[in-house]
Amino acid sequence: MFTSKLILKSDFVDILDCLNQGYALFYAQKSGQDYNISKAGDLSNIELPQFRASEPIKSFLLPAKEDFDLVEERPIAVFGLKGCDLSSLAVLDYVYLEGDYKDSYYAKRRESMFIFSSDCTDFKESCFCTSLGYKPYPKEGFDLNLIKLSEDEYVLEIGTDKGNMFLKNNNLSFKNINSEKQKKIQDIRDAIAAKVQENADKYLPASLKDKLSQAVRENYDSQIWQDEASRCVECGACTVVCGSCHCFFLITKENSFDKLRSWDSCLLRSYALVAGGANPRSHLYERLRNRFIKKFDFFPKVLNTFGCTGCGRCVNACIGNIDIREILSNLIKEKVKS
Amino acid sequence: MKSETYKITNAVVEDIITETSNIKTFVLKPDKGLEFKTGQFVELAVKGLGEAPFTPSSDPGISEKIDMTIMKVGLVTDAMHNMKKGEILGIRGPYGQGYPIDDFKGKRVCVIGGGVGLAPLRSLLYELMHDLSRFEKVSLYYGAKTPKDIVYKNYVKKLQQEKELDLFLTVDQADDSWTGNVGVVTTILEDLNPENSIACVCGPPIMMKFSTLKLLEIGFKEEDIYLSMEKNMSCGVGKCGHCRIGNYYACKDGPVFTYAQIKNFDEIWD
Repeated sequence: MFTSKLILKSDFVDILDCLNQGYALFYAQKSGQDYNISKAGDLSNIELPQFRASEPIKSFLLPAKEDFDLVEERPIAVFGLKGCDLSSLAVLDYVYLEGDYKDSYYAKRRESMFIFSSDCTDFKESCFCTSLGYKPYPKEGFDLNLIKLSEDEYVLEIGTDKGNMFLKNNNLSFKNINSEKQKKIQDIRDAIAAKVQENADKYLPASLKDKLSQAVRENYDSQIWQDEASRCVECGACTVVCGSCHCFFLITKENSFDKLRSWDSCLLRSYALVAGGANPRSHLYERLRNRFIKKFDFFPKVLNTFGCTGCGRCVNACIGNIDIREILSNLIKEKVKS
Repeated sequence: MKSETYKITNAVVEDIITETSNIKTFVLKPDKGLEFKTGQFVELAVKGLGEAPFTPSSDPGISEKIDMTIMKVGLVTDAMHNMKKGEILGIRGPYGQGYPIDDFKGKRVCVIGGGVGLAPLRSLLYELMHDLSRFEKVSLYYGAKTPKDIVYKNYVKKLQQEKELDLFLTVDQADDSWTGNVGVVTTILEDLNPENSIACVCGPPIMMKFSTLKLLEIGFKEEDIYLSMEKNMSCGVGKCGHCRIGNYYACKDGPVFTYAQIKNFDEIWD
């Protein structure tokens, strides 16, 4: 269990003010129907974001275009990350920190970043974390997490020593919550989880979770891939907005051996192409299928988790209306049929 | 933690040997000695242009100088072919798993190469020939398009005189000078004895595919066929995603795999 403190709206603005002193603070700000995470400006009107922002957490750990030689002056703090963002850390950490080689650039950011997350209080139509066994509130991976009890009352969960030390160093002390509030938190969380699931189940029922890997594996030759790929324009937006997609390519800088790193997309034809011309996935449908194999077969096998946290960003980003929930649900139906 | 992932070391191009019309061997002297196990690969970088993965073709016992045999097939290799002695390339690695030489002890080792695929296999042959008594027999089966396309002509000549090693050569198309076998590599594999044998195959994808099928047909076990896979190994350390083969990454789990490891994954020959 985390240490949980009862705080007021004004306290939470104070916390952000302090973060803004020591860190380059980014936070989720309302923009139309969505939230975008941008650099902190005036913090007085800050609201707890209702659901995940358009940017995934990887944007801050692996910048879309990264110059390895540039040193960031201040570590980053992000407010407004959600459960789906923190769930994707399992995948990113596995890729970038495990094995014989750590990625030194990711490791440095991961270590220094301050993560201030919050529970979802609402959802986007595309949200489906519950279909994959996740909850619309963070369970781990945050330094601080914020839960809204009412318009003025919030609960602050302290997830790490880093979070604790930050509060101490800034003389921010709050009283512990009592068991009555603890119960209220659980009720609020159960209610939002039920609400998200009720919506997500319309697309991909949570009860099918354990059949997903098998459905992807066993429908390798299904017509579904070609049908779905017919609407794909190969823009790569799904992989750009995905919190778990981690692929990149290295660019050699002009007149030097120094490098830049930029996100890559397995949907693009050039992705696995080698200089001799061989390409293991020369057809678009093979590349679309490959994305599902990576997320629902590869990661369950090597890490025992999906390479997808149900944030639904790819559903919103796709201009061809390709819907990951629909594909998964159709694959399950297809398997049952055959 | 190995700091500064993806950083290169400078390497001077000490010599350039023209092997065929589109293949050259670059003798590199890296600033720091680069110890590698045969079968491992490195990333070579051309300044301002980019990197590509290659497997050294020299003796793994020598770390001060490394031979890289490179076919001209794309942006990076075109630039390399235009380089002159004394110029600088970047090098990082070695990466991946090499050939499990200890597992070959006491066995008949059949080295099967096609075209420029002899590059990593030459490094393997150097390693094997450090002490041939470790193996029951070592044989090389090598095919090239034409006699002119045979790489390492002097080295191959030397091997022909080596009593302890059996050498079988073939070309797809002969010319007037050629007195040997004519046909694709699989035509010289017919008489291979699968008993107590392992095979190491490297060459163009189509050659690897049909050699593997031939080896299986004559009785080789799937786990005794070692394939050196060419994929888009970009970062070299299992992060960038490009070279995934099923549950593996060619860069960190390979590039040498047994056929048994990867046979169930589609797309291995493309």
